[in-house]
Amino acid sequence: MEDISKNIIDRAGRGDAQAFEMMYKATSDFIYTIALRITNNHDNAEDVTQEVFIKVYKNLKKFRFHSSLKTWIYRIALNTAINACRKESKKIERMGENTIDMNQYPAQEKKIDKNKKANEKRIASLLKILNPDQRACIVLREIEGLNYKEISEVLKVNINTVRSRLKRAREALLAYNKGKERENEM
Amino acid sequence: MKCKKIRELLLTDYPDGELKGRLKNNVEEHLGECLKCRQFEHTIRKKTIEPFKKAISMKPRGSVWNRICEATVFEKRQPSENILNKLKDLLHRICLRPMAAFTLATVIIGVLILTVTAIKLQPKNQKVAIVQPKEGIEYLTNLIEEEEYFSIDENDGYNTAIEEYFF
Ligand SMILES: [Zn+2]
Repeated sequence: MEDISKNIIDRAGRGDAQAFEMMYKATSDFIYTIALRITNNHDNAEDVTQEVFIKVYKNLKKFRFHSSLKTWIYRIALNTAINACRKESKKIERMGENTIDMNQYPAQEKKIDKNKKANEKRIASLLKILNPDQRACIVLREIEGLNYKEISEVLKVNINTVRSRLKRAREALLAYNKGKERENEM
Repeated sequence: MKCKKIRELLLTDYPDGELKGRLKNNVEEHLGECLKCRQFEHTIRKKTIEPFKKAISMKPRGSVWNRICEATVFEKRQPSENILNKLKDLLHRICLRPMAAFTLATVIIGVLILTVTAIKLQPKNQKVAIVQPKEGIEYLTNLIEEEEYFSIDENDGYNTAIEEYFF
């Protein structure tokens, strides 16, 4: 996420449309990418991005710089994405069918090279086996590079919870890989 | 330290760089001596950490920003009482909806045609001039009703603003 000056945050908080647009330009890719990792669905990720910016717009006046803007935006983005994910899985349960969009990233599909696309597919398949809370921890740790303290601040849980979610997530990923290897041997 | 305790740390704190000092040294010593734990550590890195390291950043489509603008303009519009502000917001919103813009243009053109026809006909034929305004009003009423039909929001009361501004 690009850094945003205090001046721009202040101006956007006072309803300055230009400053708000600058905030969008600096943070939208980052928010959308996180949302995509958590929801695993292009349309849902765009809906989450929209919802996040409306929340930011409404609450920016109240932002008091107690935490960093980055932590605050991470928190809104992850909570919104996790909620969207839970709604989606309820919908899938109800409808009895898988509505997860396997044809991801249509907005830039042509621009992504083959290897990167293959790696993105692998990431999506790994994240898919985790529950939303584990997914959030893995994304913040592995992709965003946050340490345990930062993750616990974003998710408002204690460090031991972060640790145990990461542990369970990695155990699940190891079990998934073992299963895959066995499949390939057969 | 026992292998079990070491593996707990190999799943979390050790690869995440959260281990410091003596505990870290203990783990590294153990890895130097124990092949099984070394293999375990290698598998964790390869299968659960490395795949995420090459993740790329994605871009949402441009339509997302348009949707945000529309939603936040709507939020701003609610408390505004000034008629000029209302009109500005209305025109902004109309420009975002081709159907509404088309309807508004139709109303304006209709009014202009009617005015011109009425002015032209008045001095020549008294009879037509008497009938014309009534028909004109009916025609206008129809057009305004059509405008209302196409308007997506129910709570706007824009027609009043348009009437006060244009008539
Ligand atoms: Zn060992």
